[in-house]
Amino acid sequence: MNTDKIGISEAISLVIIIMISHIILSLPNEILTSNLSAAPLNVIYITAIALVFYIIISKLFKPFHNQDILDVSEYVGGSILRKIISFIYIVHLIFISGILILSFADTLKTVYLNDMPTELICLVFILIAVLANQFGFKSVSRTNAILMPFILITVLIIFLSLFTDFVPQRVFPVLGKGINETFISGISNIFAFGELIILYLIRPNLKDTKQANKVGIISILLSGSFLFITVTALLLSFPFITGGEGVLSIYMITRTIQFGKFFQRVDALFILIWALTFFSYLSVIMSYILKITKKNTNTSKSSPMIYLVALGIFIVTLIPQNIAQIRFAENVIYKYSSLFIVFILSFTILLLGYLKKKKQKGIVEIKQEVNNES
Amino acid sequence: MKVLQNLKNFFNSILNVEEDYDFTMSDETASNTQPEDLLKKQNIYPSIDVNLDYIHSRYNSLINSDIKIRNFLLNAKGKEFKAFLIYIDGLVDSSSINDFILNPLMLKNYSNQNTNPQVISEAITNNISVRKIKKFNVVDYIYECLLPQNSIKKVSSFDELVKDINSGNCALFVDTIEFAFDIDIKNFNQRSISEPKNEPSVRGSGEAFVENLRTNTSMIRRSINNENLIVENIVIGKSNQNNCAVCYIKNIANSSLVAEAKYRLNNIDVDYILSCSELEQLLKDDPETTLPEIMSTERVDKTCAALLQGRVIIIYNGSPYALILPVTLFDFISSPEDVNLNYRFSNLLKFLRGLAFFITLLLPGLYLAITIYHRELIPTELLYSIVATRVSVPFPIILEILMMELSFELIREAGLRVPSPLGSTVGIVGALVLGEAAVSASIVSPILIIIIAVTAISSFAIPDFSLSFHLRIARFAYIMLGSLCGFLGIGIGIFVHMLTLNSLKSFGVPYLSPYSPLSSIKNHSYFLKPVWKREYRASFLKSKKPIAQDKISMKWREK
Repeated sequence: MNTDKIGISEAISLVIIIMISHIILSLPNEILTSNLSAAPLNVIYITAIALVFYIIISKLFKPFHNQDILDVSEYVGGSILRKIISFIYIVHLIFISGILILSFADTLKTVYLNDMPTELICLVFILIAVLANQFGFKSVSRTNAILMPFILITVLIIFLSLFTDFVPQRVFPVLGKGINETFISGISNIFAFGELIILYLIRPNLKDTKQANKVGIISILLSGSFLFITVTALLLSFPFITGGEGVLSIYMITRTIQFGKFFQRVDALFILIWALTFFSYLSVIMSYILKITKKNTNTSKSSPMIYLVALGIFIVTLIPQNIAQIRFAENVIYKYSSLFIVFILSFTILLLGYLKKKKQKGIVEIKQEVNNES
Repeated sequence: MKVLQNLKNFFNSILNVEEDYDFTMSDETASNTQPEDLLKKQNIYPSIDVNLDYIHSRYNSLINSDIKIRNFLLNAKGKEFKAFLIYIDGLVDSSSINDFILNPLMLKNYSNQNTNPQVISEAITNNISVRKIKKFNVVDYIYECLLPQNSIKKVSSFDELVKDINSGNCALFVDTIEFAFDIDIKNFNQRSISEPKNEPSVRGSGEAFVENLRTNTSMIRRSINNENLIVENIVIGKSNQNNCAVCYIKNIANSSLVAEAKYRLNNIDVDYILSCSELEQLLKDDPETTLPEIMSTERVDKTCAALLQGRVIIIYNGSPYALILPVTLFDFISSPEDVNLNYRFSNLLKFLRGLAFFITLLLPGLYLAITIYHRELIPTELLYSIVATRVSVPFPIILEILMMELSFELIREAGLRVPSPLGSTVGIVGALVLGEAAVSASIVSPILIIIIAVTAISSFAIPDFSLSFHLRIARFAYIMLGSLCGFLGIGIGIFVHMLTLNSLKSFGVPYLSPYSPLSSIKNHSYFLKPVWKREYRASFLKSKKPIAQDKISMKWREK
């Protein structure tokens, strides 16, 4: 019996957590910098594209029932292709999670943990994720599902509490740098939906595989909405120059929030929620890395591997030497690796698998017809 | 590995030194071993003398003052048989033994002296009388004619018999019979039914469980008028073979849940258990956690409500508590009073209790985190006043808070342990005098006294004693985490706490049901619905009758 089966709410939360952690760091800032006042429009545009892309993916997944992309790759190119794809996924997830944790740890250090080394903060996050994975995938996904409403409410609070400070004129010009930058080159911002990587892997964990479409569509719409909210809040609250600084953009917004005369600086409360978000994010990513590793090594227990994965993530956090390198890894490397893995590589394999399945089905049908005739 | 094992053995050999106890008598005079033949399973012998010797030996009747063995001659249809009774003085009803056991067995009245065979039927044909006669059987005769008792068993195993004698039955041995009559004549002094001491309720029932199993089950029977209420007995323990009752309503409770409860009870291999709390620890899904996974209650009405919801109840003989299973975290924050009040009042109280839960757990830790790391959260005026009150305090905040927390725990423990007339004195001396003196002596700041007092009051608002204990322990962890790295530490605490809660199960039911995993909240949300809208039983109980009442329960309104 597979004990790792989860429901819809947990699955949606697993997907959203990835987008939310990027939103907390520099994703809105990145979109804003590239599209200026057309950023909200661009977000709507890429959300629609992501949605269409997911619908196509789900159609391609149809013949594979409750199989994930690794099973499909095995079907297409045998265990060698599966191992290659697994390796690419593992490296991508380890690298991105390591960079993201480093980025957040750096934020924490800047904000209030000035005396604590960044490596130590990263280590704390990684150790908590190791502990979380000792509790099992179910506990991780359930905890993530409980946290998710609070995290999303926080984003809404940020938006609503800044409502009075918004300068509507900042949406103009609506098309920002122009149609070309918004809709043609702006399509590359679809990397924001790098969370789709979980949708390639989540199918075997769903209690009801038929609900996979629902999970994908709801999570893309929710993520898109929250990206839109944060991008809009950032655009309407700050001039482009401030928004384009690239450091702690959302945190900068929260510093301006005040509730009456009593609570004039509530940004620390957001730090608490975001810390929880990153604990959850890292635990989820580690769970999936372990799942991929387990699938490739045919092991039943993942305990020893947890430490190896943790070590891998920790090593990644030690690589960047300065904040510029962190931003480069977070925005550029993540952008292109996500675009390649999620939107090109996985899609191609899925397409090949679909075609192979269709061809096989055709051969079977022809054989059946021949048998019937004979 | 071998080196580690050797090291372990080495340290064990150093630590585990067998102590030679310095008794006044020498070891040779006393034997610590029991004769082996008494430990073997033994059936009752046909010879009464052998049985008598065995009983004397098993019960150490020569030194046991309350073991009573009464030898006599049993009269049955003019025949005499050697017999004896064994019982424990104080556990049986002596007058019942005299009047309804010894009297009929020893009495030489006409009926008993009559040696004529019992005629079942008689037919006369051509002056020839044909009688059908029942053959005399002493066992049947004793069972059917001489023992006017409602509860008698024929027992052939000494083990079973001894267990019943120990619980207050009396055994009758008769010569030539290979079994004994096990007669239920229990009667011993017990505490009368009183009001619940630890779970008071303003408008609820005033009955609490007592130490006697049968009294407890009878109280449940009286409250639940349903023939599907099953009370199954299971024996637990080797040295102390005590009964516990598994109660459930057959057509409501999930069969798998009942089977699981019985399976766990039947597979407890311990020497003895003396209380329900010990049994609870042996039944828990995760024995290491400090969170309660089974609820214990002394209230009969709460127990009956649980049974009617489809839960299973375990009552242990000798313990005035019943165990309710399965339970979720939210059951521990509910009070028995809730169902007796208007649902709006109950929900207000539930909200307050929820708030108390978080205050108890987090307030001191948050205070530390804010005052050490996130001072910007505190409004300037308040920050000034906090700083001003702390100016003369020489200790760091963490030490200050730990001192106060420990003092409070000490006062609480001392208040519980001293005789009740002194309890309030300890409270007054501890809380008022000590607190006031500590502030005057600038050992702690007044704001901290407020924080600790609010935390303490909140902890008293948690209805369940075990959950309150867990919160007390967890609070110290949050204090340490908050002082180490502020909100990041609090975040670590909350995350790990949630992981723990999500990993727990109570008899297969997730501990945070129905919220995590999110399932149907129909009738088991944290906040109560009005009585007329409680149409469903909790979905996580997977009851055989998921619908508790019709959609329209107040049918009189329709007319």
